[in-house]
Amino acid sequence: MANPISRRCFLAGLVVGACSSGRLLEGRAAEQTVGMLYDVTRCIGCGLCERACEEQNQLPEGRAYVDVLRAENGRERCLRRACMHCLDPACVSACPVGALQKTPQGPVIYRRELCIGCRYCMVACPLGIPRLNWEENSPYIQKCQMCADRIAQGEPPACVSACPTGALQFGLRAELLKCAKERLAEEKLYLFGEHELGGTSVLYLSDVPFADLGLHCQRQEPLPKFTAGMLQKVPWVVGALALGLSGLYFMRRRQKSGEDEDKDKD
Amino acid sequence: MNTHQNYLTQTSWRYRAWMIFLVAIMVVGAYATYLRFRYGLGVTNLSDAYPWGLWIAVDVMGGVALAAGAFCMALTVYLLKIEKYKSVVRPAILTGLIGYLSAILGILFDLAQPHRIWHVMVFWQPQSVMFEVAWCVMLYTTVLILEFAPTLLERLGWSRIASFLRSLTVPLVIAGVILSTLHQSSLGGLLLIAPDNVHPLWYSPLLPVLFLLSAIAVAPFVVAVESILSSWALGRGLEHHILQGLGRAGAYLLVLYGGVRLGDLLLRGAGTALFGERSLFLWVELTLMVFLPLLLLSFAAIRRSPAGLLVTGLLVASGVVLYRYNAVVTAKIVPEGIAYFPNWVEFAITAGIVAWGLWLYTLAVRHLPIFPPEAQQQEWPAFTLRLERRVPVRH
Ligand code: SF4
Ligand code: SF4
Repeated sequence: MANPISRRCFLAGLVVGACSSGRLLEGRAAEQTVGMLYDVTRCIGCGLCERACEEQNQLPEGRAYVDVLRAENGRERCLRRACMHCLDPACVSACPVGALQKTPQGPVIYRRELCIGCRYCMVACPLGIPRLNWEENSPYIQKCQMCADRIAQGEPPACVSACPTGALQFGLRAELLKCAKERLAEEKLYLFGEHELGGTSVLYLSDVPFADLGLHCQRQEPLPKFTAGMLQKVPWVVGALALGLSGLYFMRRRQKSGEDEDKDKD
Repeated sequence: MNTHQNYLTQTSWRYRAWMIFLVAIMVVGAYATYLRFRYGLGVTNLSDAYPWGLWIAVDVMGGVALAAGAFCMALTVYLLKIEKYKSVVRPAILTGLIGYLSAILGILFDLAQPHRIWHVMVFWQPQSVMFEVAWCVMLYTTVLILEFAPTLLERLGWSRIASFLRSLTVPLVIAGVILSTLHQSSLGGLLLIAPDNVHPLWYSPLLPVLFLLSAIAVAPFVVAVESILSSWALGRGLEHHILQGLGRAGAYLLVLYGGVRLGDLLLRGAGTALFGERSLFLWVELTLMVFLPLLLLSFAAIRRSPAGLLVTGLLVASGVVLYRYNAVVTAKIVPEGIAYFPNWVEFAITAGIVAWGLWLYTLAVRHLPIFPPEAQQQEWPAFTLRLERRVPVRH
């Protein structure tokens, strides 16, 4: 039932995926980063991506970084839920110690050895992706990192390799976006990730609106700019207060000594 | 040198009962602390949907808000030179210091990797509001320690260092005001990153300003409350002109905060939400912090009585803490069917931290010259709380 276009895209994705080694990607412009394309219409909810993720990241059963929200309660589609690897990620801007980083290749990675566990990334992520393994005595953030080390070896992420239907593709984001757009031109489909949250490295295609699948985010602008405004004002606030307060102090001191002299005269 | 101590050297049964009460709370808190560090954060009700709960909202954000008296009073006395408030600067700085120490303690409980707290000093990430918050906590706590140190050093007889630190008062006060402004506002700024996950009744681009204004508004009330309570405990006279000044300043500041808050709600178009879902929390918060206190203060009899000011002050203080809790917890938009209410471990640790703070405060007031002894004005009518006033020695 695969139409020729999507088949071509699928193949393109594989080809690109196979040749996108870390070295090749280094120094490329932002739009040349890698990404993934997830096609809701092809996802059968088998959960093999979850198993592959558990194995790859040595996670306990049921703790994969990707959840496939299975079709139930009258819903006829599955939805993959995992980090979208935003182009300008809220979590990265939020982390006070730089434990979350957007690599030039595209993945948003987590360096657990830096993490202090403040959980601000969990507050910041608009999709509620970062989780904590609360039951551990010394818990860490749990989040998809797009198998950054596999990508560096020139391999696609484990979930992509495991997907039996081609619902997940890996490749250059620009090419995946082009494929997605070609399909949009053919059929009535919905695309998530081109502009949402300022663009995400992972793109979703669906034949039903994303809100019906439980993905409600409609925001087009990147979130870090919501705090950037305040942080940019900090030097100005410091300067203005330092000047203003010292000025105030000297002014009041002169006034006071004036008053005291007046008193003395009386 | 220390005429200050004279009236608290005897140990009264009230003092003993109070300290035993605090220690009992701390013992329960210590057991909860054991659970927290033995078994991890899983012993709390925190979850992926509610990564922040009671500790961040109350211990950290609430504690910092209630510490605002320190920078406000220092500003008033040392920079604005309104010297009639001089006698309340020391207690205000002590409260500020204890508030910040409690907040740091709360952070250590809350962090998943508390032993790495020093990472914020080494691994810089200045795009993060949390980075700003962390540096403000560290620097302002240092300032508070330096501001408070002379009181302690003098007691220990190290008067040369003390007088050296005293000579730094003005620059320290200026640094303290700058850091407090940044810190109070950046605590509200933390939530700016999540416009879609914080309910519109609390999310506003003005969050930093609102957090700052509400902290400044609560400052005179906290100072008044501690003056009144300590005068009761110490059998010390009350400076009625100071208290009335604090009440008046507080009323104006509440009007300012309330006006900006309501104006912001209406202008942002959150008007429709004002009576919708979650709005009850907003109304309770505003009633506790703004409406009821302003109503009370509009009666001269309440405004002029220490008991009236005490009640008003406690209302405002609980209102500001509820504001922090609402902004962090009530406002959080989560997947359907998930809720959060702190469990006993979280409450026990919060109560333990508060008790620890009060214990430190009591010890400091007892052993250090925090309050001046010569508070003569006692023209207050009907101060019902002053049950057994002991006359200060030097009169
Ligand atoms: S989806 Fe969330 S966790 Fe993933 S990059 Fe974006 S903000 Fe970070
Ligand atoms: S929990 Fe860790 S990764 Fe998340 S913001 Fe805090 S330090 Fe960064």
